[in-house]
Amino acid sequence: MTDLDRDPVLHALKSAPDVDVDGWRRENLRHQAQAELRRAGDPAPAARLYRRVVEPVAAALVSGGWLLWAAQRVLTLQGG
Amino acid sequence: MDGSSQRWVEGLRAGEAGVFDEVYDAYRARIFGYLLRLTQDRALAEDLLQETWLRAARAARRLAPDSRLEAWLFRIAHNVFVSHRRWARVDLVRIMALRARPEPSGPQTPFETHASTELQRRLERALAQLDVAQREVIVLVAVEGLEPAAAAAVLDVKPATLRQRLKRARDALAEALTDDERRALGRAPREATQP
Repeated sequence: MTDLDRDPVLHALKSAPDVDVDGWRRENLRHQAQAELRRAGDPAPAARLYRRVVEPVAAALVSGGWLLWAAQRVLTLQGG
Repeated sequence: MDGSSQRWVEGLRAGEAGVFDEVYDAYRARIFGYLLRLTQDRALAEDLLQETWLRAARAARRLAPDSRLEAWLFRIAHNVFVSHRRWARVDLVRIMALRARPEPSGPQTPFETHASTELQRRLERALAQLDVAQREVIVLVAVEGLEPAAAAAVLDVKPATLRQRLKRARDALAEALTDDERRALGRAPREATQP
């Protein structure tokens, strides 16, 4: 037992009942912190931008290109 | 570091939501109590608690594998409190609000309200009268039970500095009690301790 453990004043302080935040606030804070944890795990902004914007646009352009090529091909065949 | 603390550190580093919940449930009331005793203001302590957990969530994945979770969390809370005080010093509106805030000798502090005995209530009042640095070291070491080395890491001071600060804080706390209160707590009354 240390000197601190033997101090009756500190011992009395340690046995004080816990004070917690209200239930609704507790849950609200839990949700906010969980959202922050998820956000922190997301990729970096540049990677996020690439994934959300560049990739879909590139995919659309590629598929658009194929569509254009296919349409031209059909028209050529019909004309031919 | 005990088993659950090690598991929690690994879970936080992996961003596991379930582990974060466990840590939140285990430490929320302790961190809140620490902030409440520092600020003496429930609404402010709630705001600082929120900032503490948001910062913890942001930093969780960067936690070092050998971190002591308890000291890490209290360190974040300490930094949040210090930032708040720094900011409050230059914010005139807050300074005015702080001036309007009742002194500890006025209405009861939240811990006084929750105290189960009159003696405990008076002890909380005496703690509230200490300056914030002394109050903080008493809360970390005596109330929260942090090892002195961990408390020194939280406060970013050398262990020798912490020991000195703790001694001065204990003396100041004893000094803030009346002889009757000291007797009731099993400590010698003030005059008996004079050389």
